[in-house]
Amino acid sequence: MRQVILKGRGLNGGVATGEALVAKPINFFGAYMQGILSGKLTHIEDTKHELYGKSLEGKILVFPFSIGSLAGGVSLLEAIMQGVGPKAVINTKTDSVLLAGPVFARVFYGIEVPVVDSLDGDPMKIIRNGDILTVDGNRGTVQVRHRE
Amino acid sequence: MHLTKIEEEMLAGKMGPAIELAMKTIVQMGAGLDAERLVPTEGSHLGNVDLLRRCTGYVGIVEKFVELGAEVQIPTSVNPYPADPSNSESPPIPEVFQGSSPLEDHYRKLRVIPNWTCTPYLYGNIPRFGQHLSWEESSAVIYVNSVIGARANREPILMDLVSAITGRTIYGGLHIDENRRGEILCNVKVKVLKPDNFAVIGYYLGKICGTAIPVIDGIQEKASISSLKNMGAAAASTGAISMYHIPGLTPEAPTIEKAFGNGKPVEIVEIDDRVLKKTKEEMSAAGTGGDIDIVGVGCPHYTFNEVASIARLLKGKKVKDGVQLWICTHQGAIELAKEQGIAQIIKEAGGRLFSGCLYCLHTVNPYADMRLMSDSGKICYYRRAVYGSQRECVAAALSGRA
Repeated sequence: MRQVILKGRGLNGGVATGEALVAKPINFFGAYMQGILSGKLTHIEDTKHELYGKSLEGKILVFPFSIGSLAGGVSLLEAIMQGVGPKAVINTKTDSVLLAGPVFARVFYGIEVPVVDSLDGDPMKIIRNGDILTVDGNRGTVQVRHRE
Repeated sequence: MHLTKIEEEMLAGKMGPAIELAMKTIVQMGAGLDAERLVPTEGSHLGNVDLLRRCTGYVGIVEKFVELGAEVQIPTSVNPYPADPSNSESPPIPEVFQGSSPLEDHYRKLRVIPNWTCTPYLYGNIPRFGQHLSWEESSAVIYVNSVIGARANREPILMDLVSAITGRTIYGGLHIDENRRGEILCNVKVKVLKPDNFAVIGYYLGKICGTAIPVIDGIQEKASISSLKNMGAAAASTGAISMYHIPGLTPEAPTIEKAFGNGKPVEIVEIDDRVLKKTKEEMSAAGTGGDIDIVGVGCPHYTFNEVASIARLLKGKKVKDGVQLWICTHQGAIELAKEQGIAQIIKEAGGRLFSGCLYCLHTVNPYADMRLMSDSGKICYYRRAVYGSQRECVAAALSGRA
């Protein structure tokens, strides 16, 4: 198994290991809106998104940046709270809307979802679905073990 | 990140546990994003309440602050609920929004201004030039930056709340002078500029500007408060624009040169009649023509003038049986409309004038499946609809045909 270590910026602490799920930019409010209204979140419900029908549970979510609604972070927080959110997040560039989800999860609920961005290699090119990643949000590193 | 002495004391709990907790969150956000420091803010505006009433994470955080005895430290207003339950003109409230939300009571305890509007800059929470703000609601942020010259970024939901409790937010973006300069010059050259064109211009601008700041020339003459509100809301939906300049009109653009900070535009674009026509077609994702179930106007909330103007079009007419006409505005405009007798004109014509949120109502059933016509660029972006000017919307409500 080939291994790469990427270094970048840790935006939210904690360490997590899991399988990579690589995706295009995400609007988390659009992704979970029906679940937010009904009170039960499960999978991504945005029919226009490639992750439609998939759950982020247990995955390390790799995507460039978040888009759309300012309710994106609070939607991600809800997914984390209901146990269907990602174990960690890797971005090309993280914005405040996205970061609000993991930071509020840590401060108010003691749940750690590490967030890392600005890596010294493009995660969108280096990481593939199914790779095993270890994300260290304290040091800002990602260990990538490529799946053969 | 640098903290002032007072901010250090807030973080250490000297101003009580609520401020300590809110400060702890802001500092973690700021440190994560490599902010150099925080900035004191003089006003906050909270994002949508009712959409979040079943979010255990969000409700838990608000409850925690209430338990800790928090009160907002700066004037803080709040976005509309789906429809005012105490107003008999409100449409039937969809099942997901029925019953009272615990959040409404929590916000009262936090001393939030109960103005329930997406146009707080017109009713209940009016900022002045130069003030730093921590506002949610993209259509309001673009308005206060551009038209008033206040300084605000699009605050994420949750950050709006902790900023209200501390009177602080992260220093960056539009809080900083050099980030407020124009980048793209947009010349509007249409034969006859109408107030209705502004939502269309905004819709187009958002798409071509992305996050860049446009300097819009050629619209000065028709740029009323209502027009500017509608243009900004559309631009902030199709793009992530949070500010624009209009030379000789908006406060940070006394001239074109000054709007660009004496620099040059990186790009020059032109909006002509052809662009308007094409954009209008694009805004009508539900296609033009055909039957209409609902006509919904007032996203963002209609100004009093817009309410008065739709009432003039409706006077003595009757909305077609089976068609609904919804006119959303804030409580202040409703009171004025009652006083002037125009609320009665709307009622007699079969329209509903109420304080509420078209966006919330139109995206859930039974309304989500209905064929909708609107004069709002924001609605036409977020939901399949037929776009029409106010006059065209009224005509459709009367005939039942788009």
